[in-house]
Amino acid sequence: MTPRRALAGLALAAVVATRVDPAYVEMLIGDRDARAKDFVPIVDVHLPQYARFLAEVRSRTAAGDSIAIVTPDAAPRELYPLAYYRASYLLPGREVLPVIDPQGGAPIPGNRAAARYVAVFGDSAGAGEAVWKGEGGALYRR
Amino acid sequence: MTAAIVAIFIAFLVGLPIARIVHREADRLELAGTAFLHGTGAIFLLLMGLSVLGIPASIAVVGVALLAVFAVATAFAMRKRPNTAKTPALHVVDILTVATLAGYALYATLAAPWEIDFWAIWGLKGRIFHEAGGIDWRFLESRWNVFQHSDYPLLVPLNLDFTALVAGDWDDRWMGAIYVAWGASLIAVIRSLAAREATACFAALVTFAIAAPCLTRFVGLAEGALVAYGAAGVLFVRAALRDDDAGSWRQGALLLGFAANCKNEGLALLVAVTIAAALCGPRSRIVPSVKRLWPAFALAAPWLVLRAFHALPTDLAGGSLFDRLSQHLADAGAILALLASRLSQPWAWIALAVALFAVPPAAIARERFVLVAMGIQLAFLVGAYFVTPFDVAWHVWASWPRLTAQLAVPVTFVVGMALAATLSESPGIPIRESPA
Repeated sequence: MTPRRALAGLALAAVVATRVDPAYVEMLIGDRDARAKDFVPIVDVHLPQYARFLAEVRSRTAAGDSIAIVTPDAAPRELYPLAYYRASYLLPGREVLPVIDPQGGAPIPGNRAAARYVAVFGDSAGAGEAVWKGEGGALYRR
Repeated sequence: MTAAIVAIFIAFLVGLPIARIVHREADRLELAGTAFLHGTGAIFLLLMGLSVLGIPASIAVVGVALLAVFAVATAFAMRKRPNTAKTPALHVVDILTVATLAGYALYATLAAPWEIDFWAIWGLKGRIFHEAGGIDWRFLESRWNVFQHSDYPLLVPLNLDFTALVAGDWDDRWMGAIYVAWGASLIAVIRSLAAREATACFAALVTFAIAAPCLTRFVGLAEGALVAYGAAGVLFVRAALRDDDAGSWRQGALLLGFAANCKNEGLALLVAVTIAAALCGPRSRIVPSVKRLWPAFALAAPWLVLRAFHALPTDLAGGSLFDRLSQHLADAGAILALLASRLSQPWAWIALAVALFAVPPAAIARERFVLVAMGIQLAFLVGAYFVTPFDVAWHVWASWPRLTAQLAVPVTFVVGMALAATLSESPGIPIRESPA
């Protein structure tokens, strides 16, 4: 065997070895249930009741309704965009409106005033007629 | 789970005669791999076409249309002469690849896709389109929804929508299954292409080395489809340049066209491949080589026209591009250092770099097409950080590991094949200088 072939053999072994993904090996031999607990949308980790709250909001609104999303006053400001995106996903067919600009962070009071519904999650103040309360929040009709 | 499997099976079935028409000399592995890719591509074109025509996408309408596509494609495929290509010989090492795929299947379907970019971009669009019965232009155009990158092409969201159509409702629990199918398709293509040049043992080893990069950890994003279409497209063009094989040209062009409909990086890849094909193909055939990629541009064009028609903004092109470029060029050293420090799987890249010293220079020269194409694509990807309107550190953190994974498959394939040729003492197959 020439030195080049020996080096090529070692290199091929290294290429193969470094490309093995331990995450997929772990799926075959590890505790999958334990790992599944990590596979949760990050918003659901920070706001555990939020997905259930939005499911209730969905069941109480119709396609085409506009809904402004309000999150807890105490929640980190960085969380708002994620909560707004999550609401867009879990309230399909509705026009989901932010009350804080997801890009710039500036308040958008006009959206709260313009929306048919305001979905308030957490301890923020509501406005209008309370349609429903539960799952850590409330839905108001304006 | 049943609906996801049925949706995958329908895509495979629709794509099978198309794959047969595209490359009549394809062996069974290539057919199996490209069938699903062409099938999901056809589903994307169909759903986009229905939206443009204003026809709501119900399961009845889509089912009848897919049946028509299948019937016509099958009729054309039957007119071709019988396929005499052999099935590549398998090797015991292939078990490791199958085990990797099995591990990935468990990983991708352990839960509903959990990544932010699933429920804020790809899955969000799929769900919105499912609710609207087609592409919801009002949603894409809304200024409150710019976060979901309105300009991104729609192959992945529309295929997620198709899975929901088959299920009867949107249920994301098993949507990871489609990513398993995209990854498995690419692995089958790679195993077939490797078998054209190497012994069963080396072909199986190289395929095993590439298996994990074929299987994206970013379940629910467009990466899985982009890597599958993009890498398969690049490697078919490589095969076409080496063998001057019309079927490989068609495969490469169509798959690159679908890659351009997965993400904007797919569009960049098409440009990179076109430049590399012109630079690295036989000098007597530069124009014919580039011309053979026309189906890719034809597939990429409709979305570009639609997004221009609807004035969907592209964040990288917004604002003052040159101001951002000049500002970031002043920090070029810091940006490049950041990219180096955030490189995904650095040891794998180091191993590939070292491997290049283990093969004869002529072997590297033979792989110049893929290496040049990936070099150009890398320049495009890095260039995006120099014009980004976002914070560079955040942008690198959020995307760089995913982007480098897009390059990993073609680069690992050519390095692996060069190593296999060196170990077999095979001179390799030079790019053919065919008559014009």
